[in-house]
Amino acid sequence: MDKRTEICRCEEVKLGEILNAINNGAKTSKALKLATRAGMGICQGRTCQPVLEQIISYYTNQNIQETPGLSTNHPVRPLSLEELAGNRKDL
Amino acid sequence: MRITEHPVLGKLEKKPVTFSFNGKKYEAQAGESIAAALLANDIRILRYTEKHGTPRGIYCGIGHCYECRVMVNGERNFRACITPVKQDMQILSQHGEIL
Repeated sequence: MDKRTEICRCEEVKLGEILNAINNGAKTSKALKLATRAGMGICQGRTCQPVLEQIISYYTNQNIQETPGLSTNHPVRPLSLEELAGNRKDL
Repeated sequence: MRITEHPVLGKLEKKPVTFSFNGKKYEAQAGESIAAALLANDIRILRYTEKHGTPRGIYCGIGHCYECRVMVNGERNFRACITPVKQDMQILSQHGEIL
């Protein structure tokens, strides 16, 4: 695949950056995420997590782990019930 | 570029709604998603990305990838593919301004 292929659309991480991270010793998708920010964007890896898993399993020739290590952190804050009832933004 | 006479569903005429996207007026049908309404008006670019300013539009189409996020009536990050368009909606494309 071309090095400029975009793996993580939210953080605009290209395949080249990911391969550099692998060459610098990244062994897991978590390490890739920390090195290149792939998977930290607004969709939290929904689009790129499977791709990251495949890349890592290809380059470290292990099969894809059953429970991938990527955690998701959404920019959410606790809401009071009163706020929740009032602001129905995403409906 | 809109199907008005569907071979199976028959006539697809609904109540027209007008809305504005980046200052220009467009027409859509009531209840359509913003992305569909813009696509029917041949507009595919909904935003530009934060880092490299590349154009983005509909990607997943079912509301989980956030590639189609637009600003609606002053509020940010509405998903165009699942937000129904309403009369006199002011829609702006987001240009990678980092808040």
